[in-house]
Amino acid sequence: MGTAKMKGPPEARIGSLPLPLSERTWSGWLVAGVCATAGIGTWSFVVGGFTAYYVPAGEGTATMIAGALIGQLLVTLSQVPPVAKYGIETLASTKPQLGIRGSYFALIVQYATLIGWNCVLMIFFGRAVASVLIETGIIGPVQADAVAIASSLIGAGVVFWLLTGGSTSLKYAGSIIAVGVSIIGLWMYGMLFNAYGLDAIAAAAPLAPIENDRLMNFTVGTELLILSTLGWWAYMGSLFRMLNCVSKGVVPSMLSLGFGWAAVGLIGLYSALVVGEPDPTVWMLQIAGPVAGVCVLVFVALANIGSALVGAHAATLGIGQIPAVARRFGWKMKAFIVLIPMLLALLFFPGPFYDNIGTFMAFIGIIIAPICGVQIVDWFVFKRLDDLDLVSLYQHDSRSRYWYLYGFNPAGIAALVIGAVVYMLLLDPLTFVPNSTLLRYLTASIPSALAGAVTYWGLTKALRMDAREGTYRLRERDV
Amino acid sequence: MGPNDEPAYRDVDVDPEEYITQALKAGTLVGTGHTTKDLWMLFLLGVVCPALILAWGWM
Repeated sequence: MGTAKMKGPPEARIGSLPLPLSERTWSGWLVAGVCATAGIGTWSFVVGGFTAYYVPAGEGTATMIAGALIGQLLVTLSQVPPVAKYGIETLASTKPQLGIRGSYFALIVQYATLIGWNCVLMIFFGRAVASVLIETGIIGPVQADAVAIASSLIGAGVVFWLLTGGSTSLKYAGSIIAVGVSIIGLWMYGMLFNAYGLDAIAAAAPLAPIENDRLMNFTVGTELLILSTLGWWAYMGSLFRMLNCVSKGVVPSMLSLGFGWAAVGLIGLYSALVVGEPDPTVWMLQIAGPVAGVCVLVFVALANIGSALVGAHAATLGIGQIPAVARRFGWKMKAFIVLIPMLLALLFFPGPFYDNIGTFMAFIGIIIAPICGVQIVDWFVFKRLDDLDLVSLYQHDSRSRYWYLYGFNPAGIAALVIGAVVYMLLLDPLTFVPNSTLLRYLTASIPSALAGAVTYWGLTKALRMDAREGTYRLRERDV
Repeated sequence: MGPNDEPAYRDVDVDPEEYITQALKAGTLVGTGHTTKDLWMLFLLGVVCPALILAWGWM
């Protein structure tokens, strides 16, 4: 049985197992395009709108771009080397650090992140449809909720349909969507600058800054983007395992995901500052009328469905790491299982879900920052990249080299806890109110990642890691 | 072995251990790792550029 005779996407045939080199044919340009598709969504405007609370346009431009690059550096170092070298997805890459069972913590983080953001994207899409239809007089305000929910569900249906095509859909849809959203994004910049002028945007005051503390506002603005960008960690395996070489992934990761989503987020920052509204379906209709509204709707549809597709793809690969799921279900059924919570949220409580988006962002940062720190230490200090035991990643019992203590790596789990505690000591992740004056010099995500990294390094040494072999001597059967 | 000299890993009920073992033996699974140049590029894009941008934004 050879590759030439096989049909369908690779996910339908080998699920979440490592992709062979013959399937990893994406170029750097292609992965950059799909990264842009994933990165550019209405979440960019949401984050830009949050940033406008703290900093004006000039400082906000710097904090958004720099914060995104810093966050993406952590994500790139922790994910691109193992994923592009071995063809594994994100969740499998956490098993050496957290243990076979411990990696289920990472699965929860990944699943909640991906599905949470997907819900937000689809709710935003539904609301955009309703908003444009109201402004153009096609429906009345009383029908808005029903139309928004129906549109969200249709969007989710399109995502499911595309998802059944696996990485093949990512390849084709991603390329087309990237071009479309980039062109419309540039046009939106032009419309905003034409309507309000650069001087007005530059002079606009932040919406609700922390009083009399410019440095704290500057740092919180930076932290906001580091925190949000860390969310890409959950998506990386889906995109970068299609490469056969790490070098092809470094620049696309930093520029398409890091810089790209911040560049679009700046539209949300500027519009929030001068209009008081980051949502382009509102301000574009106001300044350019219904034709512009339709164009923005096309942007929202393309961008959000593209981003949701990548998220759902990564989540489907992630749940495929659960042996019971992998054994029982094919790719389509796994894709459907992934979308069930999303459908329920869209149907029954879209409003509360959308209003609590900040909780999701907090959830992402306090766990993912230390995971990145731990993985970077493991790959580059302990040199595990050179000695990754692929078979052990898929052995779900004590035969696995990554079984450690009852399936958990105590060093990795402790590092996550310490990292999350450090984050909360510096910044309240729910309210974004600083808990320490040190925040203004440190940010919260960087110390959290460092605390996770140092804890993992120290405990690994204390638990007698054999650095030469890259394995622990302390394993369940040795205890 | 198939026409591309890859092991027969394509069955729906594929055994992960067998699939990976065969693919590793055939050399069809592990790609090219990172280089020093990649790390320097990351240093430039993830450390130097943000530092310069933040300095510009602050001033």
